[in-house]
Order: sequence, then C-alpha cells, then structure tokens
Amino acid sequence: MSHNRIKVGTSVPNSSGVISPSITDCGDVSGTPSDGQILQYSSGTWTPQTIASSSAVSYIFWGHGESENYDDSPATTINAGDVIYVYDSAGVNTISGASVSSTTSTGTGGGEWLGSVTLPAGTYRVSLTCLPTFSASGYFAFAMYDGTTKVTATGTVGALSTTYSSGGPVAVSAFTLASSTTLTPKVVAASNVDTVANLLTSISESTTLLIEKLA
Amino acid sequence: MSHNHIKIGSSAPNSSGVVSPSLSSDFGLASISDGEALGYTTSEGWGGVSVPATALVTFASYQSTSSFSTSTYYYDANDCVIWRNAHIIIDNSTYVTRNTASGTRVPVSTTAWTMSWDLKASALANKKIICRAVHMAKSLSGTEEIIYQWGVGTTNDLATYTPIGNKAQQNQYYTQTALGHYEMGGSDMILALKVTSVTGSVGILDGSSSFNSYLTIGIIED
Repeated sequence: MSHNRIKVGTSVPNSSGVISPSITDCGDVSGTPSDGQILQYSSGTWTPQTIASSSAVSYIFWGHGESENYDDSPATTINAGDVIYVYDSAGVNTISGASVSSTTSTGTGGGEWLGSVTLPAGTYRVSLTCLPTFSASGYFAFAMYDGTTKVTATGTVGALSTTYSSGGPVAVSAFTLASSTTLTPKVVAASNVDTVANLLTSISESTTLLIEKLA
Repeated sequence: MSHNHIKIGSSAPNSSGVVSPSLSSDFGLASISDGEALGYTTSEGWGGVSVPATALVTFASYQSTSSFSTSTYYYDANDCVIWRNAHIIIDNSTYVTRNTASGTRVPVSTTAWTMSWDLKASALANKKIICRAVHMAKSLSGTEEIIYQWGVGTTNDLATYTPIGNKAQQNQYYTQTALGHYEMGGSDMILALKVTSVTGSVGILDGSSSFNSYLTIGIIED
C-alpha cells in the first residue's frame, strides 16, 4: 500500500502499516541524551541538557541576630499565648503571595518586628528558634500557631527545659496548607522568663524564623 | 503521490515520503519559551515548563563518619568553632574553601581542623546562602553552656563580624540549631560559627560528640 512508502524521520511502517516514531524523528529535536538529562527548548530546537545545579527555593528568613531591645517591640508581656516578635532590619520574603505582618521598632535599629506571616496554599518546612533570658532557673516553650492550633513541634529551652516536655530546642515542622493561612510565633509556656524590659536584646539575637516553600 | 495526502500536524512528507514533524508545533504542545523543558501541567497539558530546580545546592557540609581521638581544648568567647577536616565534605571548591584553625581565636592551632570558610564571590555573587549547624561540644554538665552564632567578616578568624542568624545554645540537655542567611556581594567573604559566650569548660568536638554534630552551607536561591 502507498502508506508503506511513508517514513517519519527514520521510522518506517511495519507490515501492518503502523509507524512507531521516536522523539528523535522530530525535525526540531537533535543530540544524543545521557542518563538524567532533560529535553530543553532554545530558539526553535530541542536538545538534551543536563539539569543545572540551581536553587529556587522560595523562603522567608527573619531574624539575622541583630541587637534590638525587646521593649522596642509591640510586646508588653511574654506569657503563654503571647506573640513572639521576631526582629530584622533586612528580613527576606521571596515566597510569591506570602506577606509578613510587622511593626517598625521604636528602638535605634529601626527594623521590623514580625508578628505573623500569611502563606498561600502549599507545602512548607518551618524552623523557629528562640532563647530568652531568665530571672531564675526556668523554661520557655514556643511554637508556630494557626490561630490556637500549633503547626510545629514545641521548642523548649532553659535550665529546666526537661520539666516541660517538648520536641527539642527548636520548633520545626513540615506541613501542607490547603488555602491561605496566617501563622504566628507564640509562647506555649514560660517559667521565670525575664520581663519584656529585662529581656533586653536576647529575643532579637536568638529568634530566627525560616520558612521554606517545598511545593 | 498518495503519501502526500498524509500530514503530521502541519508537516507533510517530502518528495521521498519522509515526514519530519516538529515537536514544538505538530503535537499540540502549550506555549514554550527559550530555556524551558518539556513538561506536563494539569492546566495546559504538555508544553514548556521551567527546568526543575534543586531544593538546596549544598556545597559544604560536616558529618562524622567514624570516631577519633583528640586531646581536650577549651573554647573562649569570640573563638571560631572548629571542625575536624576528616569529616568535612566540600562538594564544590569554586564556591568555598577552608581556612585552617590557627591564631588566637581558636582553642588550638592545627592543620587538621578548620576554623572558617572562604565564600568565593566569583561563583556566589548575588546568590543567597543558607547555613545550618548543630555543634555538640564535649559533653556538658551542671551550668556549663556555650552559645554560638553564624557570622561573616573579612578576616579568617572573624575577630569582628556581622551576625547573620540566631544565637544558639548548648547546655547539658540540648543543642540548638544555628541558622544563618547571607546574600553575597561582589567580594569574597569569610564565614564562621562564632562562640558568643561560654560558661564553664567547654571543649572541642570529640569522637563521640562529633557524631551528634553537623553543618551545611548552601545556596537557597540563585
């Protein structure tokens, strides 16, 4: 039959007249691929390319360890349920659709005290560190919250940290948000933590919030 | 000839009966831009998609793989935390090189340990660096503690430095993670984990505590 004379690239019909072309039979595909390569487009041609070692993790990093007194933040107390304000004069937010709610410091640094973040739907990994000063032996437990619901493990620090059960000295978790959600760093429990005035720079120097968008 | 009636998309056979279809235009692909790869999305079907990126390009790390013996040397405030070379992995030396532990801001000067990292602007300019470390100094007890923090500066010992992350504490119960974040400019920069304060006699890693310690330095965003 006449269709037996047809070829697609180098692929010819079988005895039933069926052609099973390869992607390389396309006139705009060239090159010989190696294991793990991808087909990449450039100026009208598709060629195998090695995936470049590039990173494009979008993230929020707030808390570069700067020194700013905690009484220059909106905080008036640091008890269970209170917001933990995270200080940064150059905080970074590269997550598309995410926003940081912050208050400008009244102190000399003039940076921003993060009070909460609103994240779009997606999968995230969160790490929150904190280390306040204490008026006597005590503990300080903290976590990220969605409203009144914890979304990370509880981090606990202090000389009496073993009296308060937790997942370790850093609040961490990975989770998926189905819709836009506001998360807040909060105090879970506190014992003998200094007053806001006496905390001085301990919160700004020790509190870092890292949120990485995984998907 | 009859085969001229057959087309694949808009591509027709030539006079020899050979069809050379275009992947770009004959298979109903969605829009494609230079640099994109062939991929699938539920919204557009097959078409051009951004080349998948690695989650984090780690170019230096520390992970103990075997025990070792060492004498005990103690940290002072403003020392650089030192790391045993045998457990350091540098994946790409165009990004970073090591600086040997030496001088007055280390517990001991020795070519077998590293005090800081030289970030190379030639490869890292304008890239955002993320570093993590858990350093479990020699087993602590009672009120002993050490606090450390990532910092950047211009001398190998970071005698003066700019903090780039949280102060992290180790006491007898736990070791916090030190996080650091820095956007490289056009000049090489020295990076180190600095001791900000020490209470008691806090020693360098030993063969046991080294197994409980790690660091990673990498690019979080190009």
